Amino acid sequence: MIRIRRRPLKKNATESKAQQKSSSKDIPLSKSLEENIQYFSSLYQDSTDVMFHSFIVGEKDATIVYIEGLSDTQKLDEQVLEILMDENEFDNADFLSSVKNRLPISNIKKIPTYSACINAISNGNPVLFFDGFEEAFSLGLVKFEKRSIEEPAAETSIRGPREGFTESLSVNTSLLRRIIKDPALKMKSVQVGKYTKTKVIVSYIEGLVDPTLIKEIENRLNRIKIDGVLESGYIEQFIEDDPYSPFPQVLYTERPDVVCANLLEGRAVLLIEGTPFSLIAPVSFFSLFQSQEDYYERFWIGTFIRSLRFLFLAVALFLPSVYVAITTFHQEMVPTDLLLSIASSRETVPFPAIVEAIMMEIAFEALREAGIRLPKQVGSAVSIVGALVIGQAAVQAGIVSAPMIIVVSITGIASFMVPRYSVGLSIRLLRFPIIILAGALGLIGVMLALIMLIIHLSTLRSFGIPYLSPVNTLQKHFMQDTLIRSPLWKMNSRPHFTGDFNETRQGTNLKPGTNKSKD
Amino acid sequence: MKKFLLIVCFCIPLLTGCWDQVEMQDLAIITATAIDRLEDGKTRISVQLFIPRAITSGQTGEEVGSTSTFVREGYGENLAQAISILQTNVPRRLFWGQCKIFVFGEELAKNGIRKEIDFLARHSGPRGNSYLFISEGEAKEILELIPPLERYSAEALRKLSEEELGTSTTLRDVDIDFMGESESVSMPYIKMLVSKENARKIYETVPVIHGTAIFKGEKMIGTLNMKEARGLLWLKDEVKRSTISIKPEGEEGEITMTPTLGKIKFSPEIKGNQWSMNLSLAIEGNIVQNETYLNLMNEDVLNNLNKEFATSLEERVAQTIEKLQQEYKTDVIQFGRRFHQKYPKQWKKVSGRWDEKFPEVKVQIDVDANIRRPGYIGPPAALPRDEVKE
Repeated sequence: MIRIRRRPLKKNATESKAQQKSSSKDIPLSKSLEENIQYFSSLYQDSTDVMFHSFIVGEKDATIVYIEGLSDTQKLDEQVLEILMDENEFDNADFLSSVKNRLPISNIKKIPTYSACINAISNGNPVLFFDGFEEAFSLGLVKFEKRSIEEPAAETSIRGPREGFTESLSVNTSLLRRIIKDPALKMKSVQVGKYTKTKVIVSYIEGLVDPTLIKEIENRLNRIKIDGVLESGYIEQFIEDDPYSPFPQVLYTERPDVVCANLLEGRAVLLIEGTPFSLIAPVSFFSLFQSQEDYYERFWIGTFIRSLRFLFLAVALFLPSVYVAITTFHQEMVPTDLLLSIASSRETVPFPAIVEAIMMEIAFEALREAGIRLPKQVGSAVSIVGALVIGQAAVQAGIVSAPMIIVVSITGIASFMVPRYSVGLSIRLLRFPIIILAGALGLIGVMLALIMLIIHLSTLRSFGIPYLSPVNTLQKHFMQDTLIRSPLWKMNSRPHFTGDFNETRQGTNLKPGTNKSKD
Repeated sequence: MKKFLLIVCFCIPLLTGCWDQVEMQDLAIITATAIDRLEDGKTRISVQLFIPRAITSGQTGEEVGSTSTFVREGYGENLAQAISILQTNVPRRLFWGQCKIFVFGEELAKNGIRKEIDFLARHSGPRGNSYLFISEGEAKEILELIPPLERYSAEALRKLSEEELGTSTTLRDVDIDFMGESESVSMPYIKMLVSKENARKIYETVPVIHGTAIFKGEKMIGTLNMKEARGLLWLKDEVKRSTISIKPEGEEGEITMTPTLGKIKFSPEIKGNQWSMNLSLAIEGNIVQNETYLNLMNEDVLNNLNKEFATSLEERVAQTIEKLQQEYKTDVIQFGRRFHQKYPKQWKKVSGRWDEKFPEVKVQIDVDANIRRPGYIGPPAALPRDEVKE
């Protein structure tokens, strides 16, 4: 149940009504085919990819309008034109119905307005106009080139399904339907983007999800008035609770199994046309540290890896700053032998420790970014040069000390331990202010940063759900699936907040080997 | 408001210069300090400074024979003055945070160390848990030694102390004990080990613990030798590694045990005017050498040995107490505190003249020795069966 809202619902509701009014130029089609075609040909002027094909059905003039490449022309020829242009008898009294009955197409709709026609055409459905009727047919013959289903490159797993979402929305919804077969899986559609008219599907499981959450998501989606949606990030940045926070408040994934796991925990999913990334909301800080594989492997392994992630989260955030703080403020804290070897390696370094740290961290970030952006063939060259220059040459030249290299590389590795790339990015970003604070105030600065971080995280919400849940409330779910991953047969309840609407998720006494008669 | 906060955040890095930040290249890391009293009454401080360049990072490694430390001195009327003079002789800022060893010269110790302890405890630099030592002769000589095994002599001393072969005394202990009931402390007494290797130079050796220096008030009044120092260790409940040997009655050789567990319990008692201290020691150990013909697998033999070990330990402890009570008349084993805790009223009467009362305290020692394991072999090694005494 969502108890606290950041934005009042009323405001959103009025806005969405206003939007509906403004877009209501739903002018009905004209009876005259000529008039209709004229309208569309002027609309699609200078658009060579829009095809107008006129022919005669029985005694009536007909025109079919479609966009080349978006529709299956072969089927159009075989299943529409061939049948209509054949010497067939059509019932003149109920002409449209008889045509509809003849056409061997499952998805065929009558559409009465211009805007509906435009919508159908731009979505790849050929629209069939007849002279003398105020209605046209939209034929479900969408077909465009799409990528096949592949394993997602950014979210690989050792154990688990290898399927990933593609750019095609229908493929993505089908992937979900293939996993969750219950009709309670709902998919509501919202259109976003003035020019792209991107279809966004809000998916959820009825009975598990809090209905107010769905309403809130739809409200926030309807608020968006932008030119286009090119990626899920556009949507994400418009529906966040706190847009200035460095932490992502919506989780993105391209794995259907991750999406389904979240649907089953009572969360909602946004599938966006044209991108393989779907958005999951609401999320908590700790759910960003859960990988789907935690649940696929046995719980000991899941628990171990999870605790490792939290350890390395601390390393990624604080190791360079703690190193800077200790070597420049608190030299007495280091064991003597360690201090002596750090001192001797820093002896020839011309920079203060903080400059050295920031320099190396920036160099590391640059290398990482360059490695991603460059073409694959050049990418390996970059990493070789980077490793050589930073790792060896800099130390040998006495510009950078060897311990700093170790610190930076451990930190680099640690920031990749986070299973969600977006959180890894925010951690890398936060590292810099913390280093500066550490360089200015020592460990006090590090503690200050930690305190500020905790304060910020405690005030943060994702769709009304506290970001630090379930740790901040210490509900029973805390022990179940946060720092540890308890055995699946013990996780009897859905997470607090998202799962409160329908708490029990499985039968009791599921532990293998327990006596069934006990039940 | 947000803009204001932003400006504040951007200003923080600019403040770096005025905080107590110091780069490691600007530090002179002190590894050990020696404080001596010169003949003219002046104080001399000598510090062992670490040379970071000595350990070159990476493949080249440490040059054999080269030293990683050097010693600098400062003179003055008192310690604070001497240190400020010392600072002028060192181009980098003196860093006390890693100095875990303070060595006092014998001369200084005999004249009183209170002023020096005051400085060390008051100054924010030196660590409370640094070890204090008294050196035979000049303390400075200890710093100048080049140990063959460790990187510098301070490290050798620290490791010796942590192994607790002698009593180890920290700055904090001394500070507390001076304020305590008995107003006396003991510190390890160290000297240079004379190396008998021909290949080594005279200074290529380590300082070793040679006994315990006994203080009465702030002044050192004498030492305990190694054997008595062992007894002191038992009394301080700090035994970790030692051996006890006995010579069983009617046997030729000795049997040696190393204790694995040693505990001491103090129960002070006042009956009328008679103050007495009952010590009960419990000791468990393993036999490490058996020179006799006795079969240690025999229970009766073991029982007898237990008694003999108990007597031996009792004698050893009694000897130490005897020396402290009669010769030095100083209560470094904190009997005073224990009486104070149990009999606060009676204590008030004697608190002013405890050093007179202390030698009169009757000490009763009760030892419970227990041999846990006779070692890997039972009967004596390399001995025909029929010669083994059951």
